[in-house]
Amino acid sequence: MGRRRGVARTSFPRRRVFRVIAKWTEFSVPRRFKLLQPIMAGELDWEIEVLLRLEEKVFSMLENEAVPSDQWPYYVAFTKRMWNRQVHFGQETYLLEKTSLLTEFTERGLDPAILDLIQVEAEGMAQEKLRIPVPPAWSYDNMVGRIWMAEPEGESGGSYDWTTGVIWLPEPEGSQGGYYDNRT
Amino acid sequence: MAKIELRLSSIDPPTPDPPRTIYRDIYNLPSTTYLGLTGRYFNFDDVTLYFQITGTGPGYTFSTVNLGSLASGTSAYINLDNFASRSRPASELTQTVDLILRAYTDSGYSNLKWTFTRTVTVIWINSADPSYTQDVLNNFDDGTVQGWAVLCETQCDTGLPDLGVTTDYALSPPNSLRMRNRTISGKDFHRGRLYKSFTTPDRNKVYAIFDVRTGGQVLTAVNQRVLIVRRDSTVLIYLGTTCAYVAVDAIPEAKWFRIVVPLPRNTSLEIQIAHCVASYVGGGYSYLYMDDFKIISKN
Repeated sequence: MGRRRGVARTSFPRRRVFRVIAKWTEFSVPRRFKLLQPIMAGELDWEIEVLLRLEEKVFSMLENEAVPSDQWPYYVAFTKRMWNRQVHFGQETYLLEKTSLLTEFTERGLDPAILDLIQVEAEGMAQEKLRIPVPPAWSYDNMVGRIWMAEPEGESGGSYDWTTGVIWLPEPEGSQGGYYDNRT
Repeated sequence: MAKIELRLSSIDPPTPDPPRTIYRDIYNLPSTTYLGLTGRYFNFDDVTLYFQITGTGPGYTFSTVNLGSLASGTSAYINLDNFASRSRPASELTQTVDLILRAYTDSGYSNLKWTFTRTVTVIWINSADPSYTQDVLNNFDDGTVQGWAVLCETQCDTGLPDLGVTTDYALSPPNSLRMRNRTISGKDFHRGRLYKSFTTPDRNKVYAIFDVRTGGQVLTAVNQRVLIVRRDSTVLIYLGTTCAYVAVDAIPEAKWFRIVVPLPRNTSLEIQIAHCVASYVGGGYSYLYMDDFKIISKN
């Protein structure tokens, strides 16, 4: 029998816990996704660039092979799915996925010879996508305390600038021997 | 949305700044590591703002640096030497840090107007780990330049830059590579390039790691301005501010620092290291030392 309108639902401990979790995740999970948004947008930017170039290549190949333009979207759909497989799978799994995808589109009536040509292109572009390493931030590490320097020799001992009062100390040049230099 | 921004690339707004990762190599770093960083900050507001930068991350201690004022609609580069310190991790590690840019309306940094946070991934690698193959090692200890070459990018004195192996400074004794350069008479800065071609191994992860040190015949008369690392024409690392005559060092001088860059797999490429220095011809030579250049890779 259903619950009558206006009567509070019986409160079981298990449901109380569930409701607390539900309230907590409702607030926190979307915020976690929002935190990732700028990073995800940047990553998509790179993928879109590669996919656009792939599209252009496939259109040009289809034009060369004299494929009617009304069939182009199907070939492009195949290309992008193939690209996706190459990005996400490897080795034997990838080969199985590739065979399965070729069979699927051949059975849909697309020319297997052209599919073969296109899949090579998709593979190449997927490799290109995988090849792009995330660019480095402009950073470096200081190697403080790990400097080995030779004994200075054969260089003039510096000079004094009378106008500024600055003592010019030259860097060493031409030298023998060595010692451990702990300057920072 | 904040009307300020921090970028770690030279890509101009409104194109989004692509994701950037800080790559660091554990091997041979001191037990307390010191991170340096160059960034570009923007003021999109209608008024002059006073900028401050700091950061936060697990295990890191960040400095808080006041960057001074920046006029409305302008941007500026800043190199933050020893910006963050952290104990050296025991093994490879991936973490994220937040770089926090704040903008104030007053020079006393009390009236906060905008805050912009940029999250950056930090990847610590261990180049000495047996899982890596060392594909290239140029430590110049055989007394040769090991295929490196130099050219003048702008305003170098006749016949310069030149290249040689030296014992002046070496991160791993006895030798390091040294590019020597000087400004041509009548000009006030010069930029030389150190370069070499490689074919990278066909493995998933490929990194170039090298240590450099800047110097000058007369340190006070030679001001280190910019160090650029390129992969062919692509700028990978830009350290410093402007390549022009300003009598202030914008990048570290007279100390070794390490740079790590990821490389594409199975590709023929040229690594270029450009060094820009502000000095007059009378200021003497500028030096760029390099040691322990490595390319490592693994699947």
